[in-house]
Amino acid sequence: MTGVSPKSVSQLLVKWKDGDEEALRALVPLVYSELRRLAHHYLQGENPGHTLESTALVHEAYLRLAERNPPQLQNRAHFFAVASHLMRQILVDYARRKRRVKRGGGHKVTLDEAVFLCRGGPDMDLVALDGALNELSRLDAQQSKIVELRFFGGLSIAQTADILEISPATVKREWATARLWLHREMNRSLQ
Amino acid sequence: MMTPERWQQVKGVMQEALEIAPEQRPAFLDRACSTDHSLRREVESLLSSSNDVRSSFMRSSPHADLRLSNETVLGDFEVLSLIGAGGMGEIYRARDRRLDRDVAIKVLPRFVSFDPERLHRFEQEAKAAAALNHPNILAVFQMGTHEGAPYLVSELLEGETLREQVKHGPIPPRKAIDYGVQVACGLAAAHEKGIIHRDLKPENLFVTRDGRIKILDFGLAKLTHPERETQLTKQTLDTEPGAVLGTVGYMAPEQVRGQTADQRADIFAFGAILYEMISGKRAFQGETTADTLSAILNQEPRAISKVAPSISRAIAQIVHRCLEKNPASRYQSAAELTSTLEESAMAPQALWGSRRWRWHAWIFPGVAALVLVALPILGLNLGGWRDHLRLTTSAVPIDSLAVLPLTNLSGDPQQDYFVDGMTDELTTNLAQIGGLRVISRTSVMQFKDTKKPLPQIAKELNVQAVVEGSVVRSGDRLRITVQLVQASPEKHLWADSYERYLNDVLTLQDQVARDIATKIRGRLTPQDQAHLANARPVDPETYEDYLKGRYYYEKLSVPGFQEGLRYYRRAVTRDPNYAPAFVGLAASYKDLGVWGELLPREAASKSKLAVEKALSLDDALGEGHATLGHIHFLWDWEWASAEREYKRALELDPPSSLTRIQFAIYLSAMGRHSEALQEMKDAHAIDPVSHPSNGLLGAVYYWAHRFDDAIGQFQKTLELYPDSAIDHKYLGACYEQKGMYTQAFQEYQRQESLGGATTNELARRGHSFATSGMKGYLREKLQATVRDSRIRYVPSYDIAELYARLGQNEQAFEFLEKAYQERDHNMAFIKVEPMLDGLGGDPRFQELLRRMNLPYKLASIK
Repeated sequence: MTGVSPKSVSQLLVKWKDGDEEALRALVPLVYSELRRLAHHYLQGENPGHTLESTALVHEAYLRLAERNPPQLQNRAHFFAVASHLMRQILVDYARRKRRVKRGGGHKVTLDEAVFLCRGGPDMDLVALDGALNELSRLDAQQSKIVELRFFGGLSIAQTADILEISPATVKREWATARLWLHREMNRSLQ
Repeated sequence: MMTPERWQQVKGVMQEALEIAPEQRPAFLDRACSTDHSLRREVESLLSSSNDVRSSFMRSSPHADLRLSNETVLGDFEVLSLIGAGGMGEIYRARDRRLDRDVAIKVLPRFVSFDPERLHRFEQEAKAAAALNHPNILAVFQMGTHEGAPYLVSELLEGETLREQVKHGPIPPRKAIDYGVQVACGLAAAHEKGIIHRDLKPENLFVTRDGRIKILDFGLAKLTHPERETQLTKQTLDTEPGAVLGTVGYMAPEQVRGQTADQRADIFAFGAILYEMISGKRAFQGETTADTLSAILNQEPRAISKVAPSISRAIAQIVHRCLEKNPASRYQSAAELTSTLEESAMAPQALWGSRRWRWHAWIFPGVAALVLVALPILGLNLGGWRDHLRLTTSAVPIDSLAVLPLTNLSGDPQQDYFVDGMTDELTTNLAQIGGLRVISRTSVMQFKDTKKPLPQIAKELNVQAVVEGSVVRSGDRLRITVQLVQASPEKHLWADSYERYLNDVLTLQDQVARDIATKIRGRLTPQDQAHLANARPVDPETYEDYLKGRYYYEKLSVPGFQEGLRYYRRAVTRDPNYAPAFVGLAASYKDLGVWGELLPREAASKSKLAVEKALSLDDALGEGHATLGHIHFLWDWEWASAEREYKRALELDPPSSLTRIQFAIYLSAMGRHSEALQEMKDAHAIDPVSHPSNGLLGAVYYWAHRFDDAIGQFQKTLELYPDSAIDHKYLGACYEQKGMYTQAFQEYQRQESLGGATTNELARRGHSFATSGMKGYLREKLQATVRDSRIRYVPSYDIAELYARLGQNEQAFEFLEKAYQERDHNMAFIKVEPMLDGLGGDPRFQELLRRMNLPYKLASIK
């Protein structure tokens, strides 16, 4: 968190909420480093066999950052929005790199990246999901955000509705159709 | 390309469609999409993607709005996620906390519980289904109600319904028949218990990823459509296009008429499904439900030979006989149907169609080379091939078989452990088939990388046929190619290849074993089927660690045991409920103890802890009981318990030659020599060339004081394994017993030089023997051993034995007492050890035997 004042964190969150993508870029290193640090911490911990859920990591990152900056991080929902987006990046990057490593090139996966191995089943193609999500965001930016929050951030319907300031019923409907669409796209990409 | 505007439109229709029951959707879409056909296609394609329960994306997403939420706990089961939902209720993935496995929970629509009579029937049927323990029927573990909604807990399946598979057109004939046989087997088992499905259809047949069929929803049909049998007249009037289509097309005419349906209605439905699998077309299909029902009552389906010309006449006859309008003209039982179907599946034409199809399936480049090799064998001209097959089906029945080490085609020697593991599993699985003698892997491994021709290998192993093949692993994909070859005259009986994901490896092994067994046996007995269906689910990484552990363990050396231990430990850390890995741990500790690397007590306690854990997880593990038997025998000296465990192990795992050999050694130590020899001979039959089965046969003769037989056997063993120190030692011991000291001395020297003795030591021993004979040699050896014991742990038993051989009984007893205190495993043999014969007359020896609960009267043996 060095070099960034707590004030700027909350400002960045508000800006991002208002649709400023630059603000997100500035937030990324803060939350990202925290997520990675936590991942690393888990791996070095006493229980390396422990299955680590990315959503659990997001929640813990929140607790830690919030502890340090209590007044600024009151809006828990915003934090999750950022963290969900980051978690998506971390996981997809990891999946890509793993692919590259498998093909024989690329650099070695570092320890704290390897922790994300635990996430998702062997049949979970994160790269395909990421591609499908990008396409979905072209069609419907809100739907893609809902998926990010629900899937990568582990947020409930109600929490998602809070963040996006829409009704839970809408989230539910949008989530249901987005899922079907993504599912079909991902299956197509497999064929 | 879809535009955002179009997406909003598609999404809108979809959201409305999702609000209504699936049956109502076609009508709704008619209205909503009107003439916009591309809109309808898009919506339908999206809606149907939800049927696919495989999507991990669906699985991992939380659904707060459903009947069960994450973390809902139903008894022992903790709900994890939703798998799918539909008109018939919702299906969740849940964790069985007691048995630590994942299960599926199906929650039925709440209306079901409003009617006590119906609920009662549901319970009855569910109980009946739970009693149906058959590999082709979904296993039901439990039922209950949650907030008024009845639910069923069942095994969790990965794969898709048969409906998904037939959607894309016909299923290759061989596969279709294989599926058919599996369905028929499941039906036969159910009918035998008086349970009739009544709603068999492709939606109710699940194909697991490894190609096993599971019949779903036994008895639920009656429940969710309680009035079906009487209300059909009403349904006939329902002319809404497509509304119930797909569920009525498989009903038997008597069901359509509302008459009582018995098991023959299931046979009719079976015929309709087989028809559809083979031809890709429905047997009965009309524009409307009414038309379909009318077709069932009045029309004969198009002859399947017209729709699918490649199918054999025998199969066509079966299909049409199932579809007879009059129940009395159909097969009267599923059992009869099963056997007829299986017989016809063996006919050459039935196989032919699929083989052509199968060659298209090659994917891995590594296998391409194999195809080139295989083509000259398999790619004969059509007529020739048919004759070939016909010949082979009428060939002599095969009752002995060896699975040769599968070849690792991955180009990565690091994968050897994996490929060896597959060979091992395949061997074990095949050995479960009743009446089939399968050569133990320990013998077969002698032929790894051999250049010997197959007939010769078969001759050396004394088998009629061999299985050989290769494995290619690429990431998480796996391809295994196997062929069955008759040895004399050499004939290729069967070949096939399978491609799967790594996490399906266990069920794949079952499948391959089953296919081979079916090829050999024609059909499998229910017992064989049950034996073959015992794959335990395990996470692929855990399984890999386990295989690596096993690979190193089987090197049978101290570093091998230690490396094996490392991997087994890792496996149990990953999955603390994976019983086979605990058995591996136990075996490693045990052998580190037997090989003197661990102190006896430590080996015994660690080994016992691991094996008890293993058996608490899975009491049906033969190897686990065998290991517990060894511990009781070698260290606990609880003879009855040891015998009980060995017998249980042999019961669970009859083909294990190693267990049989260990049991034989136990019998020897008890002085039950003729029983021991019989067991050794049985082991030898399935394990003719391995080191244990040869060397220990010599030892059994030795303990029985049959030194001439023992010498012959050790010489034979040393021909196979010339560098085996232990066999030289025993051979020497036999000569010593016979007073042939020069030969004995030579063997001992050979033993010591193989064991790493220095030239200096050997020279000293040689000098002693030359100047003072056997006694001199033994004294020299004793001094060296005692010297050695000051630097490192030397089992007291070794010293005791040397004193006994020198006739220094006082010291011998002193050290025997120490060995007794140390719980040295060699003490278990004192009753029969010829080297201790000189102590037999001493009351102290009788006293020792008594303390160890070993029956007296050593003298009677000699």
